[in-house]
Amino acid sequence: MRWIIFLVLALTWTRASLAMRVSLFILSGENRYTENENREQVNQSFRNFSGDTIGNFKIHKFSGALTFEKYQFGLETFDWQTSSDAPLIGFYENRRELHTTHLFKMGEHNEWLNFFSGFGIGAYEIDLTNQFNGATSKTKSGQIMTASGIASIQAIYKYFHATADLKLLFAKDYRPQPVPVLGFKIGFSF
Amino acid sequence: MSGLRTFSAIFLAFNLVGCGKSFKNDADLASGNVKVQIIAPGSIVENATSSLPYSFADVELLSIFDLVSISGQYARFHIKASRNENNVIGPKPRGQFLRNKEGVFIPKNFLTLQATTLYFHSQNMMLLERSLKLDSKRTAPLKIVLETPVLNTKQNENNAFYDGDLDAIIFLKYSEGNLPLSLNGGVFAHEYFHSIFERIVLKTLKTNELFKIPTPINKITMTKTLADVTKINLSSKASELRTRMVSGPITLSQENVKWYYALLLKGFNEGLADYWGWNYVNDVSFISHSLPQTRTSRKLDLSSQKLDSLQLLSEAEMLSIIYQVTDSTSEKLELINAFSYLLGSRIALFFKSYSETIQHERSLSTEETHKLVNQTILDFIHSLATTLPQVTLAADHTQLTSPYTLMYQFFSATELKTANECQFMKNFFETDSQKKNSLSCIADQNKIFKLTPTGAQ
Repeated sequence: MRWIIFLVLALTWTRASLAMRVSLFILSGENRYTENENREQVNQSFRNFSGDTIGNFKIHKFSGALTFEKYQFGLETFDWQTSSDAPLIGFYENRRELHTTHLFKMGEHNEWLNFFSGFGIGAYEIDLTNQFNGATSKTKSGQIMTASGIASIQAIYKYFHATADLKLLFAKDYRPQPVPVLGFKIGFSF
Repeated sequence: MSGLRTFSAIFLAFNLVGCGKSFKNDADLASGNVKVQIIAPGSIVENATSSLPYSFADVELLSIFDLVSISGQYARFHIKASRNENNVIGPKPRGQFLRNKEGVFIPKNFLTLQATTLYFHSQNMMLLERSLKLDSKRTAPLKIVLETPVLNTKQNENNAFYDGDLDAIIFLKYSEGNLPLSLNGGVFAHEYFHSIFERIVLKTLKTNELFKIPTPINKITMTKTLADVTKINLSSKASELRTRMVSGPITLSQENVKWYYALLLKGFNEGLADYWGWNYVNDVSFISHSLPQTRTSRKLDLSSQKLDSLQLLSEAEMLSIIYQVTDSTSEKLELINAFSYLLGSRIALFFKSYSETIQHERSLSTEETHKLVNQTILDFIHSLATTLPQVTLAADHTQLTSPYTLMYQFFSATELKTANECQFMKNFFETDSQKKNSLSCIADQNKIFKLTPTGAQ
């Protein structure tokens, strides 16, 4: 919740002074193509609009952006949980992710369709709780850095802002390295 | 076009930079001796987090080559495996860990937990084996198969077995709601012993016609068959056979002689493996943590085995098993396989009691006792490897080599340190109807006792 408040305050404060446009994305989602422990390709799908639970993922995702003439600053937060189990054993993973994106305008197809490219920097932390036969083992990862290369197509028309993003996401416990990510965001801007 | 070029340049440059070392996984960088969290019995780890038989424990895995695939000097793992002649083919797992502040790698999923736990047991078993005198050393690392469907229409889950052809331990899917077999240290030690027995004994019998019936080491017994054999009463058939034996030798078909030796061989293999499992985790019912239905039949105490005293199966009881009427060879194989645990549990119980007797009599530590008895077991299976190839096709029951005979041949040549140790052996071997009241304990001038036939001295 504190990230939402921070995001709203930051966007509101900067709107008047610096940015040409402030965007808040109501609907967003992304698919991460990762490899699991069985070496199978797994599509981790995150959506913030179809309830709290997608498969075994429980997610909360918020994002917004400040767009300047040639530059766009974005902020995304994820808070998601996943779990797996076996007889007597449970694995529960809580992840909190914060990503900033720095995109540069590369061109435009017409007045409202723009091409951006850039990079992202962020951090995430994991709380892992392993349970066995009533006993619990808790482990915290601490802050882990993440980075991404991003290509984005964005439609900005009046109060409407939509993006389609391709990211290559780096973090030390992501497999493969980098993880390809396809994402989209739909929101309003002013 | 220039915009597209700039776009490509930034995107490419960033991704090249991003491939740098800073994004290397902690597990990618871990090799050598690595601390991990596993599930282990409190009896084999110093820092168990609870007094429960099994709990979380931080242990050190030795000589790890690659923690991501959990491979090292002592074990390597295959998932989704298949067989190519005598080789296991299958990818290695992709272990996922979170490293805590103390530098301990915590598994993030079940496959990773299984592999780290099994590596630890594998390392312990190999170090134990290397500390003992054994003619044939095993090849390392040990191959372990996980997460692999096995095509068996009768039972394809809730079991683990050693495959002698592949020289691999295979864990099938576990679906009972108890301790998974792959986390059960006693079960692993049991399967590991089969690899020793295979190398020392079974390989010497590979070309022997008498042992041609495939001893079903890697054949999975149906749970129902195991349950059914506990209901079969052998005593009436055995007493009928005893009566016939008194009146004269019972003529045996060649096929029944082979069934007899399949039962005997599998019985020793399973029994000694059960002892090895008990010895490792110091738990008389280690199997029941995973398979509770075995609690009564394979628990290493007299009352659970419904016995008044330590004993093996008599020739009459062995033959009464062979004479169980079945319609098909495969069904008979199932029966022999299931009954082999009856003989095996008695053998395991004998060695456990022997271990407790010498510990008491010689005032040894548990560690010293285990080492001594483990060596005794290896010496015993070496003696089996010498004796069994010499067994000839019996025409009647008097020419059969009984379990008692094989054990007596070995223990009558063993030096016993005290009168009580010798009395223990005497009591045991005199449960054989052929040796009743016929043995004596004789001490030499160094007060070393030997078990000898009465009057032979």
